[in-house]
Amino acid sequence: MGSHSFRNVEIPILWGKRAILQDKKGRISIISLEGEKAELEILGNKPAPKIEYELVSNGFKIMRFGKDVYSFNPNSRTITGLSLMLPEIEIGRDGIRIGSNMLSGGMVSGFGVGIVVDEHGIAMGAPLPEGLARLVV
Amino acid sequence: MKIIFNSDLLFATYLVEDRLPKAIFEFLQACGEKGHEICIPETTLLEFNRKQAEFVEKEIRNLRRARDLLDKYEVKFDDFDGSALISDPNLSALIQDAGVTCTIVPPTLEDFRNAHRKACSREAPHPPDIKSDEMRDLVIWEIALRIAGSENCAILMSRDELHTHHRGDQEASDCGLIRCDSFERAYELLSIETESGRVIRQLIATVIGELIAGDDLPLRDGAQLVSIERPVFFDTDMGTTFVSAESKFSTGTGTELTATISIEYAGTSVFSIKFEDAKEGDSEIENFSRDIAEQAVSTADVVDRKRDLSELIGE
Repeated sequence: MGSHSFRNVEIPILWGKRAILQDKKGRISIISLEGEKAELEILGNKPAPKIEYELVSNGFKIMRFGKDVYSFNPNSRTITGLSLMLPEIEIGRDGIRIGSNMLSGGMVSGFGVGIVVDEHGIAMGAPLPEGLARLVV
Repeated sequence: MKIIFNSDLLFATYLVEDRLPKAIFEFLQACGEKGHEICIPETTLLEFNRKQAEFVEKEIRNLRRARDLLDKYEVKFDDFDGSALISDPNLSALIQDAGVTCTIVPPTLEDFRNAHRKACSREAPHPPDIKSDEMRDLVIWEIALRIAGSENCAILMSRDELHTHHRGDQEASDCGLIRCDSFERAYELLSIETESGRVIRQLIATVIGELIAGDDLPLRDGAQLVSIERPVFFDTDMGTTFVSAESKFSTGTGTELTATISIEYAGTSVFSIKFEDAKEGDSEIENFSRDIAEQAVSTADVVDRKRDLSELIGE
């Protein structure tokens, strides 16, 4: 994923309380782990069924309870926080850009989470934070 | 129209070097083309500068580390001053680069006094359940009210709870201040077509003939979609998409029809359309629903995406 290798990692990127995953065809899925139950928001580069969204130029933005949460551009594979004040993530072929940081060619192995991104910064390799819902499709 | 920005909608998570983030830049460009003006309260400017200064410092630190590393391995290079290479972005210039007029608006003493009073006495628009007395937001609020009052109308672009809370409704209404929490809502207000509006317009174009031919809606020859607001889409497991939105049509008879429309479609094929809460002028129109075509969609794409994700997380 973005030239990074994640081995024995449950969640490659945890963006706030959202798991970002990439399937074997390179498509991005995002699962919200905020509530008691995990909720699939983006399924393979497209809005997941039953999730409210609005089309924007170059993609769509996910809405929850009438609020814009974040937008996703499937071409550049960029996730931009709207009401979520989190650094933008771009999953490129040669690396993962998180805000102004470029991570490439790294390997994370044996952690619950590969890369943790929150309002305060970025951490590589961390246990699964407490209180997250279990990852399900 | 003057458009005032809070810092949350100018938010960038990286050092802005030569261009503002795409969504902001495109919105400013559209505003410039329509002759609107951007007002940046000085408070917003200071908040933007503070955040950008953190990124500038980080870049300078990175350059120092790079120099130390080169020194360590005795790599020869021309000496450089990192702080001279990276400059603070100029927000006003970045906005004007999009072809729109931009003014930095300093707060007046009156703005400060009003904000101070409202913060201390927790007057509206302060939401009752917020602990922090956010002076910065109140100063921006006062500037926005002042601009709207002098122009009879202005837009405040902000997602901040203090700016969007219903306790500010009366004050905003008295001054003609319209609050927008997203670029899409602002596009609609300024009659600039959004991506969602463009898609819905295309869908309506495929069925407008059939709607005109029927007697259920007061749409006649020449009827057309005038505006689309607040669209919400969701996809189904069956491979179709539902979209609902507030719509306005010119009826072709000199009147206007407003309604909440719901369309089920896939690609450019419309399967059904509903008109609810419809009104022609002051007259209410009965809810209307019509199946346009048989659903002929495939669930293969949804199934494929789900299967690949399930494999990934080992379900």
